Amino acid sequence: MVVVSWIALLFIGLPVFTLIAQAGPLVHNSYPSIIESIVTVDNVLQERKDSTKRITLDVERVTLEGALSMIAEKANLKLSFSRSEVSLSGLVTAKFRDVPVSDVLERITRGTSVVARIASDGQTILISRRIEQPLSDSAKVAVGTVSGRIIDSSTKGGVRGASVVISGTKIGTVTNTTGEFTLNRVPIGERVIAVKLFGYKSVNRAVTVSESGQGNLTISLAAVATSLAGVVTTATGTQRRVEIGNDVTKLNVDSLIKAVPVETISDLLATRVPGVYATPSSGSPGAPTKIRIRGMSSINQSNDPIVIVDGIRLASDQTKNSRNMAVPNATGNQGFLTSSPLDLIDINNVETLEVFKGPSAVALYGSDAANGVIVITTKRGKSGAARYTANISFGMESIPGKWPVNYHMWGHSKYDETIQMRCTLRVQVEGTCIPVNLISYQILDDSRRTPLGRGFSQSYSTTVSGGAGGLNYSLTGSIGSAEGMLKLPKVDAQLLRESGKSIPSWVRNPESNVRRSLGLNVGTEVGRHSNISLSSQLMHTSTAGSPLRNALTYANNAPPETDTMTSGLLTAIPNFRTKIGNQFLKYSTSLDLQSNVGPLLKTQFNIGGDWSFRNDRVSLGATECFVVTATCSNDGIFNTAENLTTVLTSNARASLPLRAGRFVSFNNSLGLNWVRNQDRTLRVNASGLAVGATSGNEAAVFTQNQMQNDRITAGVYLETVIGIANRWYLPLAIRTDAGSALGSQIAPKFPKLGLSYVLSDDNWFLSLPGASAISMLRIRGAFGSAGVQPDKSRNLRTFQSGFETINNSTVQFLSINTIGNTRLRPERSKEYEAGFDLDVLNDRISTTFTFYRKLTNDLIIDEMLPPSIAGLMNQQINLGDLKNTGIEVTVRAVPLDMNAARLSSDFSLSRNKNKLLKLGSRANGGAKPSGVAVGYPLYGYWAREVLGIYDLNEDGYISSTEYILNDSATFLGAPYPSFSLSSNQSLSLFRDITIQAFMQYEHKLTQRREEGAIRANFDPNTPLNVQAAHLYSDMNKIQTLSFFRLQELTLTYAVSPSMTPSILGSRNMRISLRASNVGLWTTYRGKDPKVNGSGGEIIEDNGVIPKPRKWQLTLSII
Amino acid sequence: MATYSINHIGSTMIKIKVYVLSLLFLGGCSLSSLVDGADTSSEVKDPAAVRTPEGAAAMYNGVKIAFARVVRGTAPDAQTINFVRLSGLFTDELRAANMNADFPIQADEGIDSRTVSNIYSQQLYQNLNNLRALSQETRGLLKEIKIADWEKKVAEVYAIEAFVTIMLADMYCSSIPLSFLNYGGDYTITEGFSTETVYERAISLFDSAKVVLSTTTSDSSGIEHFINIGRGRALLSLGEYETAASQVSAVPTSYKYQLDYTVNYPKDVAHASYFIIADKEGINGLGFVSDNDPRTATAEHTNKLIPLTFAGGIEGRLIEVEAMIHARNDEWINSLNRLRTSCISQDDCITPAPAGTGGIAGLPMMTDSSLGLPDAEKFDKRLDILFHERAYWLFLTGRRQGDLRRLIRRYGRSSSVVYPTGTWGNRGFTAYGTAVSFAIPQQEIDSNSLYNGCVSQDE
Repeated sequence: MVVVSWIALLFIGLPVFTLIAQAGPLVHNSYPSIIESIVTVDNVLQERKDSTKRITLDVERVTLEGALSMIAEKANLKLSFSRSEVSLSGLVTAKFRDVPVSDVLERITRGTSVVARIASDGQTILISRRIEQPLSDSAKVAVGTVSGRIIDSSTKGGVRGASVVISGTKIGTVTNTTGEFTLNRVPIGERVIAVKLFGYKSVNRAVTVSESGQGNLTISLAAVATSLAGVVTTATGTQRRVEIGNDVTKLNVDSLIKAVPVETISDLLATRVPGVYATPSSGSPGAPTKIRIRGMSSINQSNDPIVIVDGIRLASDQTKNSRNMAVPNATGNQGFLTSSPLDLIDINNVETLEVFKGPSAVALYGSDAANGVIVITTKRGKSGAARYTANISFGMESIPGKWPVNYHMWGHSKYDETIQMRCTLRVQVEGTCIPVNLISYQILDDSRRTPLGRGFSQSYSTTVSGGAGGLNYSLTGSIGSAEGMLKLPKVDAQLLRESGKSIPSWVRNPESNVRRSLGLNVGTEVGRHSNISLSSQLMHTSTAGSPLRNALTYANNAPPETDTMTSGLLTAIPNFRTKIGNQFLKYSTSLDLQSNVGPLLKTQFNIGGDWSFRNDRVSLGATECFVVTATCSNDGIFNTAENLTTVLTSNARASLPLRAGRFVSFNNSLGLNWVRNQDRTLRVNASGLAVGATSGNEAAVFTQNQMQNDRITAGVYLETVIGIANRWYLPLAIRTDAGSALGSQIAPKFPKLGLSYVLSDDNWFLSLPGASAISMLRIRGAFGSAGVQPDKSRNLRTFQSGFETINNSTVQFLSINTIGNTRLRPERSKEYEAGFDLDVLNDRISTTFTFYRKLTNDLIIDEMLPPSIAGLMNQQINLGDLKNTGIEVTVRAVPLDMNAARLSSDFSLSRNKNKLLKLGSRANGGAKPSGVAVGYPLYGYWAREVLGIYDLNEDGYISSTEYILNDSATFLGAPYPSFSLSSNQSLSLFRDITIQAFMQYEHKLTQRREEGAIRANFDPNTPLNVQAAHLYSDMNKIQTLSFFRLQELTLTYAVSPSMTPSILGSRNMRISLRASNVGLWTTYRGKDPKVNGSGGEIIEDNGVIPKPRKWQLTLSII
Repeated sequence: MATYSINHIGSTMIKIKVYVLSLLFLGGCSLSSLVDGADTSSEVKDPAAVRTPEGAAAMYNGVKIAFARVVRGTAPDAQTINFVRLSGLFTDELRAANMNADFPIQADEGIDSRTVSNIYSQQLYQNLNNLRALSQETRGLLKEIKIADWEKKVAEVYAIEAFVTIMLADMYCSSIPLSFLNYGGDYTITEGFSTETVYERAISLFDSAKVVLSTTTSDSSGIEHFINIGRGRALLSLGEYETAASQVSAVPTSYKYQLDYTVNYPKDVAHASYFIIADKEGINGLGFVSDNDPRTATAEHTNKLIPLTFAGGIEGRLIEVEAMIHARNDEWINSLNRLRTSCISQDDCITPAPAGTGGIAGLPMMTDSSLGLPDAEKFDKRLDILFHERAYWLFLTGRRQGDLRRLIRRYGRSSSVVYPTGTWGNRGFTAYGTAVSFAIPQQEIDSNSLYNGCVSQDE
């Protein structure tokens, strides 16, 4: 099937090429078009207009004169011409079979300076000079050739696709891939060459054309700042932005981070890309951020975008195994999340980051790309002497402001007044606790007992790049460390000291994160037509944590310190002496070979891999019994989990630009993409370690478990971008995949088509009133499809292997694990996107608007399986539909542009509506996450309302039997905002001072938070309905909120070379002071609305450390 | 037909064509071959890895181990779900241990009181059907791979599936779906079948086992005896007593099909925390403790590291006795006494008594107390004696549930005189329930479009 579809694709392409060939000119000089080579013309049409003698001719690289002589001979005609008047020296290769002679003459002289015709006597072939119109009188008899190269004024590289026209004539062409062009039959004399290309300022250049021609002309084009200028990196290679029908966000990271010292890729995505919703998991160092692009598309599968670095797929799935795999769930420590693979990428080594947001843009990435694709290009070296840049940064962070207050009714035991205790309403009513004082208290605001302090961070990074002898290189090294805000509370430290226990440093400062990275890129030319480059990144991060983090949860119920208290928080956290850690080592490398085969065909081979080794560990040493109240016992544990994920990528691409006349172009690409994703995990749990034990081997209980997954996807794709008059572009493409995770008969097709029309370049538009104020206006639209694959094992009947010792003999055995579903297909998202790009007032204001509608079908759901089949409860099948609709608007304006001051303002608005349209009737309720219901957004919140209360015993307390909850839950809201608005304001003063402010507003998102010690649980004066609402319903824990945050405020001072310290030489230097999370204005009743401690799709503020306020001082040497 | 062809860059064109065709070949023709991956983890995801002699042997081992687990224990040291335990709790063999108010209610208390916990009944249902599916997959594989003695192994796997089918019929209400896996394919769901039909399905599986066994030339008597006992058991449940007796006549009394214990999954008989041997439970229960019968105190029942006899020659003799009672053959009591007093060989006896002291562990001979009674009463009396003997000979082997239900289905006894009844325990429950079988789990009703659930659990 795959082969058939390929052949079909090819046959769609060939007739198109044929049509082009018929319309194209025949060029006799060094770079004739490929089009002519495949001309096949049926002779029926020719016969209608000429009934003269037919001939067969087969000549190869003979002079035109020789060819004409042979024609005359075969047709038994005479040949008549004057060598002084016509030139017949050009070479020609031609094949005709049984073709009328007049047709042969017309064909073989087409495009030359001569015409051949049969004289009226029917016996002679007359050769004469071709007369071109319009020509000046002086030029009618003399023409020349003009050739040259169009280059980019900044990169000095050739510019493809530029229109080159002799003004006042129809003589024109378009530059080839290296920017070269040739104009034939140009009338001699003074001429003006007009060069035009979208994204560049048009150039008119006067030339003198003589019969000997004008060669080696070089014309520079200067890029102009339109929003569509430049190229983006698509699945088929580099593509001009104007040629694609999608909105793509491209960030020039290298230059961006010089102005604003952003630390991670997640930070960039969260603040600079409309349509991206980023939720941090906590404020702990190294904590991951969940990235969602244009909403969620899946219930059971990953919603993470895929990441491509230098053409190589990275293991970047944050959703899978997001938790520390060594932490036992039962200990209450399940909130520990591992570092984000995305944030392992050193931002200092990134040159550009491009975000392709939906299936309409990423169809050619196929079965895994429905959630969007993030394309990262690392730094490249440029020829020239070695240059270095460096960044040094120091940061300090803390949680600003007061925490929500907790309430406690403090009292004493009914039986013993010396026993102080908290009296909940229930024990007050029961009479076992005598209330004394209702107090409000928050341990986190108590400087002696809070486990939160200041965190510190530092980072160093340097890049060396250059090039010599055709070899370009770039080497970037970075190291950074952070110490979290979590601290051993002062009172606990004091108690430990007084008891003579030593306090290890990891208990004093239990959270830390260290990151190291080394990136290398080497590139060189191979021969005249090929380039090869090698790119490698080695990344490592080490994160440490502690159950002390749970202090925030315990703190909600922590009573105020009293005279009778003998310990602090640690007594409430008995396993706080557990060490929790995570190491992540990642290496990715990519080898890229680009070759020009002939003048037009370009090939690219790209292979590489990404290896991620992760080690999660938890240890509770029985020897570390230093806590005051803990006694040493054989309770040590040592758990480790190791995961090795290998992603191997291989790409082969060929691109072939073709032209049909001056106005129609075809950019054709054909490619193969192969990705293998292997995942191995080994978990070892050792418990019951004796005091003094130093390794897991000494454990009383020792278990291990191994898991492996291996998935391969191979896809082929074909794309043609039809360009018309440098204004209309129609990308058409299709990809088909085979995958080991799919049934053998499943080969999904992912089509893509688009339209991009720069109407501001059209004459009719320019004649409209007010058109002169518009620099550029483009309308665009796109449709595409992409998928998300199931795990490999879901389509197979799998077995569980084990060993048993039976009668002293150990045997291996298998049991059925899953029955498999051979019909399982990838989830499939179809997206329609439409919008426009508008630059007005000399590009002072640029706007983009995009509307999208994404439908995801075949959601993979756990369906209830009849247990009579194999005793298994679930089987994954394709069920359910989901819809995402939204808009994205960006406005970039320069309201102030003076010598002394320049203000640049960026605004972006994004809105996404997510709705589950259909879910199979047999979707398994047990496996289905809560918060999924047809007609509502995924992972929304519901709660049952208290309908009535009955204080039957009139004790002033609503017990668990004195209220009625609504039978059905009420929908309270979606976890993502109904819209978000962000703004980045940049004010430059005197060219060396820049102030940047980034602000964010999110409107109406709903999330759940863990309530602390609430007043309703202690205060006997609490109204009964409030008691019931707080104690027995989730209504009060779930809140729909909005917030405005001043996210970043950066002051940068550019030190002129003359003022830089002598030790640095005459270098540009920048000093930045950046404050993040500067201010928060919100309706949220918790501490910070933008935190998700669950690690999953359900947004929950479950007591983790929220986003801190951070101060960061950065010195950049450029 | 005339053609035009003008070629100025022929060689370049050839390169293009070769390149494109190469890509097509690489990408299209061999696309499928590029996606084959291999797995070697504890979760075996590669069907090719199973379709090997090693895989076939491991699958056969898997059936045997799963069979042992289903019958006598599914977890090493916890509240395990197994047929012997649930049968014992549901009948009068075992009692839930935590019947005091300080303990949370255990799921097995619902089983013991015949109010039936869905958790346990569902888990057992899953385990039994998982083993059925594993058997179906394994025999398909063994027929394909043909490892050594594959015929005997296939026959044994057929027989195991047949015994599991009997267990379903014994334990679950009438209308039992028997969905199945298609080897190398998907699955087929079925409607519910009556209890009788399920026993008949078991017999057809035994028949298939015999057909496969007939093709082997090596000694297969052990498997043949296993099959014959199974056929006898199923035929007995269908009321075909003479045929059942003829099936087991060739099985020596000394024959035993044992479920070996394994290191990880020892026999589930030592969980005093969860259940204890019952004594005269619920009015109708037998005195498994107070009778001091040596057959309930043997090491087989108390030592978790001793294999459990799932089927054996003693059951064969008991089947023959039941046929004799139906045939009004007075020899029946002698047959029972031969079991109680004769030690043909040490293997015949659980704990052989010294020669001349009166049989196994000193069991005395029984006299025929039915003599002189009217025929109908005589028949019932003899049945009482026989089922009493079955209860002790087959104690904690999972047969008690089938026997009690058979008394209702085949002999018209009332459940209130067969199963424990009256007041149960000392908390929560005040009376035994009326169920004599487990319900098919709700998920089967919700997910099997051909299945409508059982009509009643009381029959």
